[in-house]
Amino acid sequence: MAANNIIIQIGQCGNQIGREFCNFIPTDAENSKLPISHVYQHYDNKSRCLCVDGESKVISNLLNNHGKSYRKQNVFTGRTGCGANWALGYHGFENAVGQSFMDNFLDSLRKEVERCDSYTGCILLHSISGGTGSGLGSRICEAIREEYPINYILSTGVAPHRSGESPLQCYNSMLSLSYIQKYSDGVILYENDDVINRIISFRSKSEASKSVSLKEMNNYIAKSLAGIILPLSSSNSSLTSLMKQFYACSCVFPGKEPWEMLQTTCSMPTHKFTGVQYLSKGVAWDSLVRSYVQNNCRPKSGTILDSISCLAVARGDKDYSFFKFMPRSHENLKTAHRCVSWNPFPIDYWTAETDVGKGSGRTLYICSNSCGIIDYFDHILSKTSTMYDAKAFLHWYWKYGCCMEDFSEAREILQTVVMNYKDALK
Amino acid sequence: AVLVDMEEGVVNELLNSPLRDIFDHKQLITDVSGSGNNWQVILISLSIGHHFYGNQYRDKLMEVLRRAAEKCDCLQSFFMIHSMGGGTGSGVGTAILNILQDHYPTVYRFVTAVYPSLDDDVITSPYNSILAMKQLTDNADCVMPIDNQSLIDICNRINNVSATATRGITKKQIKAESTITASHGDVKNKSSRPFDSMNNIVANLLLNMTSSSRFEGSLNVDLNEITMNLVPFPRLHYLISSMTPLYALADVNLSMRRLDEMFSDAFSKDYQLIKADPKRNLYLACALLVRGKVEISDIRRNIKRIRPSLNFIHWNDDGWKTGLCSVPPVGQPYSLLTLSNNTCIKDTFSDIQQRFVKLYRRKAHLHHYLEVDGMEMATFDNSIESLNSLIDEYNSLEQTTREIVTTPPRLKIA
Repeated sequence: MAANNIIIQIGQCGNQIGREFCNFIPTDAENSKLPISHVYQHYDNKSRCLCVDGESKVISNLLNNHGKSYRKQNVFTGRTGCGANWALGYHGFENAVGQSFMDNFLDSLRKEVERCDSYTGCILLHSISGGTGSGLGSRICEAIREEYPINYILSTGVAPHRSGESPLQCYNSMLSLSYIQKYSDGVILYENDDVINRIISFRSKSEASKSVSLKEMNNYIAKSLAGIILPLSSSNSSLTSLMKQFYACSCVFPGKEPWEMLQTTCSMPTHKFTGVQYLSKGVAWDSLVRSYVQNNCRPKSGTILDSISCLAVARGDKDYSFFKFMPRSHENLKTAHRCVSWNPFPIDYWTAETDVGKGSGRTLYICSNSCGIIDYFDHILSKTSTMYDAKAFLHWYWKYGCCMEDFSEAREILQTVVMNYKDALK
Repeated sequence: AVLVDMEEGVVNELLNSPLRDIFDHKQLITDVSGSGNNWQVILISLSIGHHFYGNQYRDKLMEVLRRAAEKCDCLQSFFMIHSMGGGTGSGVGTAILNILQDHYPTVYRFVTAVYPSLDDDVITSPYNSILAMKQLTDNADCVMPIDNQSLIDICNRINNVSATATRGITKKQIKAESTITASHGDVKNKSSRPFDSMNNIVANLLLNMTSSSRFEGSLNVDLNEITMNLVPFPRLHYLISSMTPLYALADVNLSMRRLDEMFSDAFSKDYQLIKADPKRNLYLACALLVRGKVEISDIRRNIKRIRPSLNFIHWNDDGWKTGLCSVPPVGQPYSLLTLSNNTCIKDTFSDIQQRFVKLYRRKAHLHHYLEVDGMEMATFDNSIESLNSLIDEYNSLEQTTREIVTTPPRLKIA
């Protein structure tokens, strides 16, 4: 028995990440009959996945390469795109595609849910600054929350480069972040700037000047997501049941990894934003943790990096040596992440024998709910207010159905989040 | 496509060229006498184009447009290509723009307009331009102004490169068919007509703009994204375009430096399709549409590099729109099209405004316009009023930024 989760890919970014994520879903041929392989895939080897986009190019590419894993009725495309405009994604998509889009989408979702043995929740993949990903993503999040109020929603949002990917990015980000704050259970936020920096830090000195492609960035995001949410135990486990009780890897019901992660890191509905990082190396666990602390925890000047709670997943622990190094590594990680003093169990640990995808080394994935989000939200709030005061670009939002209240409500929600995180530091 | 001209010469030539199979005679609307381009008198009148022919052919135009629109699976935008100084282009062109606005209000209207240069051969071009400008400001969604002088300069630069050969350094070999002035479609026709290379540049502009809609890419930018991201206020929709590189060299020694050069060149005045000085004025937004083998980190690196030398308006400090299409143009490994919404366009408008005022003060040539039914003095007044307010809007944006930027920063201690 395993819990089943559904992935919903929205927009250009979401679908591209979903394409990379496909590569990490385990498809062991010999174990295909076992429930553990069916968390994200049905018994007929089709993904439990719905794809939506404003235009068809990205999705047709996806279907050309991985067509066999997707169901035709789970794919929804528009014709003209959503123009990097949240209003067009939220209100205008139905006008473009047909009034029954939401009904058809929820219908396909319902059928997918019914195919599951035990549906626990869905994972949204989208960008927060585009048109489809942010606008339609917000709409879908709201609709799913209404339809399935007790199931989980994990939103994986990708934030744009701060030096500018689109002049409307701040408006779109503010509006979509306010919706995910309202309707999802937890958010994993990736910033493009950070992703590029991490990819460059993985490279050897000689390769450091090579360009980073979007495919690499998508792969990074997909791998870090996979490391946290894919099933921990594989069926090849040679652990006896006694040992399994001792090691944390089997304490998580297979398939419920994302939701256990949310329970650990996003335990308060006022603090929902997390970030994920990882480091892969073929060395002993304690030196891996030391490298991680050195590379990944250098604070940007001026930003607060205190963490409320973290989850560490150590994959590739074939010799079950992770817990031997625990006490020292634990102190290391606690200091590096500057965990808040009022949380008695700031870091939770899971282990898995094998890494995701085809990797055979050791990887440490850390998902942390840190106050670094304050910096990002302040940035969005200040940019949006300057632009809003100048009334720039607003006619595009009014044209497609937004009103002033949407903007003011979104501002308030984000300001509340910032206040809550600042309170957590005390 | 729909082809409209009030005299048959040019359209007939097209029908006799190798491209004749692409067009259908049902898509053409022509007349015989032209909009008053009488070579003995050298007068071209927009009023004849807009009101006279506009009305006469209104039904036929709507019919042809409707047929063309119905054949589309999903109509997203109209591209209009015309000149501002002539009669048919500006007059009938803007009449068509009105028709499109009335009948297809949700479909985007992109206009590539050729503005008259200082040494224009049409005396009444200032009148035509100002009258057409009002229509463009009110009815078009996005205008890309171009002028002939810039196109000539670009052609000359390409020709000079192959001509120079300094002692000791071998002649730079331009790869055949890689220039943005090359005609790829004309198969065996070696004798090029005048204006061919210049027109090819404009053709390449349109190809690069639509490349993301036509081809795959890791970061697609559709046409509606271009308008939504670059037009902060409805009337300020004039985009300065520039394209690099102009050609590809025959030796395949592509280094990262050449890629960075492409980005720097795009912001130099020599590669623009209209005479303007964006670096001295304010950017309201800027789009970088890249084609070919370029990665996202290259774009980010170049944006960081070039950003300090540009002035952006204070509320859109990082107002870049980036697009990445994987298919490069024919003959080149990569290319960059820059569309900037910059306040320097007001200088171009001021020039035309002054030329207009010179003629209008004396009421010269006005009777040719007023003879036509539907044309009144008030139209002239409204048009110049519209242009004046447009220039004022640009000026006020610069003023607000200047005020905000010049407040001195507080001293920070520790």
